[in-house]
Amino acid sequence: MVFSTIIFLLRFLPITLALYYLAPPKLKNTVLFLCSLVFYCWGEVRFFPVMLALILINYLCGLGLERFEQNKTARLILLLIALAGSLGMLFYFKYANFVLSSINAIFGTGFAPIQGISVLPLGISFYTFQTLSYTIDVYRRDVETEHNIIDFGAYVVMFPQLIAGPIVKYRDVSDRLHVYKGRYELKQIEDGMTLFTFGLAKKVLLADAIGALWTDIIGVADSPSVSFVGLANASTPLVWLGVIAYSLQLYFDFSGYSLMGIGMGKMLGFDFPQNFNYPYISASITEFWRRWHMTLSGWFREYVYIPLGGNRKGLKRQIFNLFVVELLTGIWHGANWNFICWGLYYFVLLALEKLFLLPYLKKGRVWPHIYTLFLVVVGWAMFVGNDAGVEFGLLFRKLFIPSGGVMPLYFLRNYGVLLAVSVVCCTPLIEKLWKLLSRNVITKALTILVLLTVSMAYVVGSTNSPFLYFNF
Amino acid sequence: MDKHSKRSASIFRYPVLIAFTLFFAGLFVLDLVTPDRAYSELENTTLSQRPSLSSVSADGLNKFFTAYTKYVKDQVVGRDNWVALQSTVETKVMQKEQSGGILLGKQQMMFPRTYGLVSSETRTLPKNTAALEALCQRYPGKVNVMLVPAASAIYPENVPAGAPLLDEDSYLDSLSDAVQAAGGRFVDVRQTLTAHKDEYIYYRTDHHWTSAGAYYAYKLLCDTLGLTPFDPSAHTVLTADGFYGTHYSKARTPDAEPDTITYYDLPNELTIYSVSGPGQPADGETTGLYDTAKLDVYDKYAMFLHGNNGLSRIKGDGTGRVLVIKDSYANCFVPYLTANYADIDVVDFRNYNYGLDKLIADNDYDQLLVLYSFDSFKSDPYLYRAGVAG
Repeated sequence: MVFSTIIFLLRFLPITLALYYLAPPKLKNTVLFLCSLVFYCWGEVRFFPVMLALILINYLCGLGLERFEQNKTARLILLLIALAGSLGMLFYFKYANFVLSSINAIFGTGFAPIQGISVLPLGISFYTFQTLSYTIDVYRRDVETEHNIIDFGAYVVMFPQLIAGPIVKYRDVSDRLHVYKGRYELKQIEDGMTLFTFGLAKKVLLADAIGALWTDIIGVADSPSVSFVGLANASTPLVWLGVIAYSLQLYFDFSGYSLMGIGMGKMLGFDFPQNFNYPYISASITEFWRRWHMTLSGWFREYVYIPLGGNRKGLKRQIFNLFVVELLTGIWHGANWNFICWGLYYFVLLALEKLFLLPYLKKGRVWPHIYTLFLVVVGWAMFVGNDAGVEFGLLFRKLFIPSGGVMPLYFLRNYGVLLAVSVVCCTPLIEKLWKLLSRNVITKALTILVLLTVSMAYVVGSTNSPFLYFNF
Repeated sequence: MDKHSKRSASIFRYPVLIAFTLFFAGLFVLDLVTPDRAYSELENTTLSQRPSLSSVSADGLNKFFTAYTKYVKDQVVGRDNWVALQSTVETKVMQKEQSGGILLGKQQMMFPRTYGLVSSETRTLPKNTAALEALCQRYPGKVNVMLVPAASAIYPENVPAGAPLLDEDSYLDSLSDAVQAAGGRFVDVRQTLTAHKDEYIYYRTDHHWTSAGAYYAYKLLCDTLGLTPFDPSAHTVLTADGFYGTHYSKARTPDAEPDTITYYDLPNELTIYSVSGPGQPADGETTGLYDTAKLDVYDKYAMFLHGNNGLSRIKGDGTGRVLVIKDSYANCFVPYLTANYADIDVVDFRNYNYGLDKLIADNDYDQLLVLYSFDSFKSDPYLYRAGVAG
C-alpha cells in the first residue's frame, strides 16, 4: 500500500489510528503488529511467509545470543545464521537474477532466471537492514535481547517506515516500544500530523507534479498509451531540464515519503531519526551525503565503515573503506550496473574531496554549491540511466554533446511556477515560512487544512504515480 | 482562570491535531455514508462496486485487496469535485497550460497532448496504411480517402507556444502518396479546413470536428466526384448547447467554454443492422438519423447516427450507392450524403468483422469513402480489416 493513495488515507490510516488509540496499553503493540501485517500483505499476500521467517530467524537468534552468553563460538554461529537469513533473503529477491544474467553475459552460460521474483517483497531493502541492526547490536551487546515476539514483530514490520524508511535501528525505538502506557503525548501527535501533512504535500504536489516533466520526455513505463517526446528527439537543454526535474522529483518523493513515515511514527509515539536535511543546499559532495538519506549512510557508517577501521587505520585504508561503503550504497539502490556506476562515481568524488578538494570547497562561497549540484544532477542521470525509456549512452550523449531537437520553451512555461516553488522547497526558507504561519493558531490550522485538501485533490485527481523507491 | 477557559485554551494549543483529525475523520465518515455510484458520466466508465472475498487463499486475498483498492478509489466521496479542484490548482495556481493530458490553448481551444506516436501506433499506422492500400487496389478508381487532421494542425497558432505536438502534415503527405499510388483518391481536406478556420469548424472541448467542418469537407468531396452538394439553406438547422466533450472530461478546467452541436432536421431513415455473417443482413432496426435522447446526457456527440454501429444503411434522396468506412468523425458528415445517394451504407470496423468484400459484391457500390480522423487512423486496431480480402 502506498501512502499517497485513497485506500491508505481514507481507510487504512484512520482505522489503524483509531484502533491503536482505543486499544488498552498492553495491546497497542499487538494492534500495531497486526495492522502493519495487513499493510505489508495488501499488495502481495504471497510474501507474508518471507516477513514471518525474517522475524522468527532474528527473534530466535536474539534469544540464542542471550542464552549462550559465555559461548563465543555459539554466538558467532548465531550471528552468522541471522546475517545469512536477512542478507540471504535480500540477495535472493533483489540480486539473484541480476547475478545470473551478469554471469550469463560474461561467461556465455545459459542459467535461466528464477521465476516469480520480478516483484520485490514490499520494503525488503529497508526491513532487512533493520533486522540486521538488531542482531548485530545484540551480538555486540549494545542492546538487550527482545523477549516478546509481538513487540519485536511490531518493530520489524511497523508500517510507517516499512516501505521507504527511515531505516530505524532497533535501539532507536526499543525504549518506546516497551512504554505501554502514555506512549504518546498530544504535542507529539500534533507534530506528527504536521510532518505527515508536509510529507504528503511534498510527495503529491511537488514530486509527482514535477516528475511529469521528466516523463513528458521519456514516457511512463506502465502507461504505453501516453505519448512522449522521446529522449532521441529532445534537445540538449530539454534533457538537462528533464534531468533537473527528475532530481527534484527524486528528492521530494523520497524525503516526502520519509517525512510521512516520521510523522506517523510520532502519531504512534515513536521518534524516528531524520532522513533528509536539505541535501540540495550542500556545498560539497561530502556534505551532500551527510544530508541525503541520512539513515542509510548512518547504517553503513556504523555497521560497515567503522568495523572496517573507519579513518583510524591510515589514509589508504580509509579510502578503501570508503570504496566498500560507496559500492554497497550503489548496490543497495538496485540490482544493476548503473547503480554500481553511480556508487563508484560517488566513491571517486568523495575520495577526491578527502584527498585535496575539501579545503578549497570550504573557502568558496557560490561555486561549491554549483559544483555540488552539477555533480549530483549528473549522478541522478546515472541513477535513472537504466529506467524504461532511457538509454544510458544516449542520455549522456544528449547531456554532454550539444544537439538540437525539441526545445524546452513550452516546458519552462508549463512547469515554470512549479519549478520555482520546488526550488524554494529545497531550501530552509520553507521552514521559516512555516514558523511564521504557525505563530498564529488560525493560520497554522488553515495551512494544514489547505495542504491536506489540495493534496487530497491531487491524490484523487491524478492517476497515481507509483512511488519511485519501490524497487530498491 | 476558570476551568472552562483552561480547557479551551489547552485545545487551542493543538490546532493541527484538531484540523487533521476533523479532516480525516470527516472524510472517512462521509465516504462511508455516501451511496455508491454505478457509472461516472464524466469519466465515461462504469465504477467498481464493493467486492467480496471469494476464498481465503493467496489468490483470493490478492484479488480482494486489488478489487477493494479500486473500489475505494472509484467510489471516493466527491470524486468529481476533487478532480475539478486539482485542475483548478494546476491551471490557476501553478499556471499550467495543460491539465489531465490536454493542452489548453488560445480561444478556449483544447488539444490532446500528442507528442509522438506511442509504441502501439508505430505498429498500427503501417498496418492501417497497408490495409488502405490493399482496399484501393481491390477496387481501383472507387475508393476515396479522407483523413481529417486534428484541430492543432489547422490552428497551430492556438496551440500553447512551443508545444512539441506531433507533426501530422508529414504523415498525411505520405499517406496521400500511398493512396494515389494504390489507385485511390486522396481527398485532402487540409486546405479547405484552413480556408474556413475563422468559422466554428472544430469543437473546443471535444476531439471531433463540428457539423460545419464536416460540411466543408463534404463539399470538397462533391467537387472531386462532380456531385451537387447538399443545400443547407433548404433545411432547418437545429442546435443543442452545453456540450462538454472528451477533452473537457480529461482537462476538467473550471472555465471551459461549452460547445454547441448543430444538425439539420432531415426525415431520412436509418436502419441499424444486427450483423451475424458476411453480406447484407436482413434484420435491422429502422429509426431516424439522430438519437436526440443523447442530447440530454453527457456524450451529446453520440446523437449522430446513433453512435458507432457496425453496419447501418441510410435511405437518401439521390441516386446510386455509397459505402462509408469510418470512425466517429463521419457521424456528422454522413447526413449530407443523403442529398446525393439513394443508399448510404456505413461500416464501423470497431463493431463489424464479417467480410467487407461480400458486402461490396452484394451491393455494387458506386463509390467507397474511407473517412477517419488522422488521430484514430494511426491508432485504430480494427482498420486492418479493410485490407483483408473476402
